[in-house]
Amino acid sequence: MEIPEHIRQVIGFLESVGLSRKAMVKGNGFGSGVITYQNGVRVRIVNDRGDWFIEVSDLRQPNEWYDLALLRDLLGDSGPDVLGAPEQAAILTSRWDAICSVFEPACAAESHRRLQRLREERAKRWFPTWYK
Amino acid sequence: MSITSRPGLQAVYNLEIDLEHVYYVSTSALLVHNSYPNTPGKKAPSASAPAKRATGITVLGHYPEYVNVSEAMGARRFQIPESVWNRMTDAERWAANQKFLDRTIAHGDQIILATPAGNARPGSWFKRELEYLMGKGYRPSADGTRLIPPGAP
Repeated sequence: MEIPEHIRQVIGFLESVGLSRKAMVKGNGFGSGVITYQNGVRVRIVNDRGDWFIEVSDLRQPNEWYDLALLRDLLGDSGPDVLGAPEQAAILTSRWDAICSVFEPACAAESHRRLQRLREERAKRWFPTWYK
Repeated sequence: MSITSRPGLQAVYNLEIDLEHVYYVSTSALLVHNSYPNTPGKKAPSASAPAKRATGITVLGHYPEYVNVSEAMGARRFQIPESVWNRMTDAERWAANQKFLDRTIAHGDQIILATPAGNARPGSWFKRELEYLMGKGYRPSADGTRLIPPGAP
């Protein structure tokens, strides 16, 4: 798995804010792989068939991963659904404190509900014949 | 068509046709595949066949979930080696992916979703696969774990 420079910068950022690497798995096709960091929140950097994705989860719901477009929308900003790796990296680093606050114990449950709702609304836009 | 025996060592070639190591030859449409030496009929392992498992089940989803689920089920999934994938243009990648889906449909495979459709990553190959199958009349099951073919209850 070849890691491009902007993803290396994200890794450097995550380490600078105190997250530590929990796992690095390389797949056996497409160059796929996943690197997971955590410390309060979890961040995983995934190469899925050549495309890079950065996702965030809460330690209390560790298998519920949210992409940066959803988190951006939750924080009241707006933009396209599809983000390149540099745009994802920019949101993660520039909104890091706000992203962490979303998953603080006092508001995590409400954040999960809102993120699920945003995801459902997006799915309706994407797959209109499936979700009405 | 005929078979000719040639004594001694001969050069042989590992053909890949349309990303498959199984292919038809001649106007007789004879289906052939690779073989280990001296073990007639045993297929050679192929890292570059995009979907070499014929279990009647195909798994779609995000990495790493779809790989984990297909491994656990021994099921079919789309796979191409990094060295091949990296040489392909986006159009070639999608053409290969689409052929994989067309074969999935033609085989009548059960389609398992390792990732719920609503959780698709924006801009991902998985989302594109779902859009393609939606266009073919597939729909997700009530529990979101599989895709139901058109016309099925």
